Amino acid sequence: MVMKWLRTLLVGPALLAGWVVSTAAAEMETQLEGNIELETRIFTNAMNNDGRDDPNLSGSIDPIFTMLFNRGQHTVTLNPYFRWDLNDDKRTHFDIRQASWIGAFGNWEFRFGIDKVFWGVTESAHLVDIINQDDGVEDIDGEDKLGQPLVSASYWSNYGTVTLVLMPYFRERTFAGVDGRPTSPLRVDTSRPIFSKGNNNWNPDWAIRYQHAFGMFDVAASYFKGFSRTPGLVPDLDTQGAPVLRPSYSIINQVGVEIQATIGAWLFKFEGITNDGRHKDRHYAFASGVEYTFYQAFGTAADIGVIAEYLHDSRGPNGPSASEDDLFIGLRWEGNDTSTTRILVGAIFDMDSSSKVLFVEASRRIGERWRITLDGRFFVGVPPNDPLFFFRRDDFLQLRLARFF
Amino acid sequence: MMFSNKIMTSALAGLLVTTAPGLALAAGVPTEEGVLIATKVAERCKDTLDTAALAAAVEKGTAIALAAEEYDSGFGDTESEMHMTLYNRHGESATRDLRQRALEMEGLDVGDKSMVIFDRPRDVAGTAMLTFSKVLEADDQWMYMPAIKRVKRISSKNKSGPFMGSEFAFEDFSGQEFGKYAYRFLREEACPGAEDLMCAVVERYPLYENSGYVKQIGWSDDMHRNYRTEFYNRRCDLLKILTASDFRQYLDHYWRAHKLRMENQLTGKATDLTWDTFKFGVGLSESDFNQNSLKRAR
Repeated sequence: MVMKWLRTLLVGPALLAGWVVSTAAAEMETQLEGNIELETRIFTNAMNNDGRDDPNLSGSIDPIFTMLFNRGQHTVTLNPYFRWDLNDDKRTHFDIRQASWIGAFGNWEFRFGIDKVFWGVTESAHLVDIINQDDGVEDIDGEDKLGQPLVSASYWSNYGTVTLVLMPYFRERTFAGVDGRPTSPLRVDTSRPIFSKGNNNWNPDWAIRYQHAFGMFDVAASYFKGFSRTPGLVPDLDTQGAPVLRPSYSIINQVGVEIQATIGAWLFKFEGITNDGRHKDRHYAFASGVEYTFYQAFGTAADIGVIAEYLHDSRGPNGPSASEDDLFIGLRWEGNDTSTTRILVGAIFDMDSSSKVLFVEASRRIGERWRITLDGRFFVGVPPNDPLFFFRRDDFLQLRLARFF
Repeated sequence: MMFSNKIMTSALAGLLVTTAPGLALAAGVPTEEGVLIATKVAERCKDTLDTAALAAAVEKGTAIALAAEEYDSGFGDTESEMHMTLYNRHGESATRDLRQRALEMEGLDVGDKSMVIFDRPRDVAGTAMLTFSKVLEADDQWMYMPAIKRVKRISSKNKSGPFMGSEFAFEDFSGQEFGKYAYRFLREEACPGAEDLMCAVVERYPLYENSGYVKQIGWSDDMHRNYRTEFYNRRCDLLKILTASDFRQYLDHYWRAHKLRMENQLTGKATDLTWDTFKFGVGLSESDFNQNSLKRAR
């Protein structure tokens, strides 16, 4: 099955590329960029099940090969991705982040192949963003995505942009294995997913979005119908009789709204969704807040940004969302120096319990081609009914060194 | 537009912005207001001022700036490749490669559209910035982050901050429109770096309240080429000196400097900005300046 769609989706762009080459061979430009990265994670607590607290070592390669034809009218991109992980054989994985043809014809844009699409405005939650599945073995913060097979058409005019996306094949979320961290105490058995419809990944998911900037307001509205990217986790026994969690995916209808007002140094943001998830229980969720930047703070070249966002989910503290009534406070420091040094520290406070997630992300360039990144995440006071309870012992510091080419 | 069009305007858009002079703005700041502004700045910076000839100097400065703005209008669209070298006070350097596309918009209240794409350093390769410049309000600006494929509307208030860690500020590229300054003619003298030519020396005062400068002094010849600009910070210190060279003419009309050097007088740091290519009339249209094209920009 996997081979089938891989073949379909790789042969498609290749054929198109061939056609494009024959029609526009006179003007072709190729680019190769990307990075190779080494990562180490140090966990401050022993693991739940076997008391191990070994540091982890991992490496990834992320090359992006691009062909541009006719001054960018046609773009063919291939972005394979591979990660090796010392401890977790699930985290050692390969994915095609992008293998697509993009064609621009006046006000029209078409995309075909495997691609990545981001929707949304807030920093602490990406509720509206639904095209791509999380690559959960990369990290649990939802920032890393799997490539999504899709066909899309987008029309731009002075009254806004309308984009239609068809997604014939559903990608399941990846989860860390038993030896991976962060992970849940029960293994997530990704070999036996539960689908509410069809019992396989072939389903015509689709989405439509309207987006426009009205002066200081950037506004978007979207509708999605298809498999929810967020699985339910159903306790079950695996074939050996060991308790596992089985990911369960249901068809949802989701409406999303994004609004950002940009006024001087202030950004005001709102994004919200409503969907009838499992068992038609319609619920809603939103994230909303402000960001203010002090430019050249304290007479230096650096900018300091303050971010505050409130997150809400109507399913409440016993629901599947960890951000049901939470406050995010973040402080961003941008050095504006030659090394592009930046530091983000933040905390997410659960307003109904003592649960807190503290994090830091800092990075700077070394020379012209290297970048070093330090990340840390700490779970404090997480109660048992919080979805983050799984990860309560998975506090870690992570150091990454990447070479860009 | 005086220092700008020939030099910076030619430069980065997204950052850089040229606005066709509208009728309402064509007159610029009224002479009385220009006199007032010039007087205020002179008092603040303890400059001597020939009050008897001030009104005439403001009129002449404004006329020179307007002539430059008009001379440079009608350029249509441009595409260029730039290379930046940043030097610290020990002479160590870092490089930046970027490309810029600009589209001149017609109409009284419509600013230009432009896009800047970063190629180097490699960790920011593919990052791109889209700017719709505004004549009197803040620009509309979006940034594309390729790693997460996200387009983010960003604040354009950050005028005086450093651009990519260089000695150029954002406002050195943007806000070059004629209508954004008041002017005062100072004198005529040999052009710096081209002593056989005569240059008009004109002082200009940013009208934008968040500008990092109290005034700028520019040297331009009768072809509206700007050889040198001095930037004074809000404490009236000479902060930076910009020198332009390697002027080339396009379409038998538009002059563009292909080398700019910005030297910070207070820190000893410097940035060289050179153009590898500069193309006019490449056939860009409005559909090349929206969020879709920003995401496609390579």
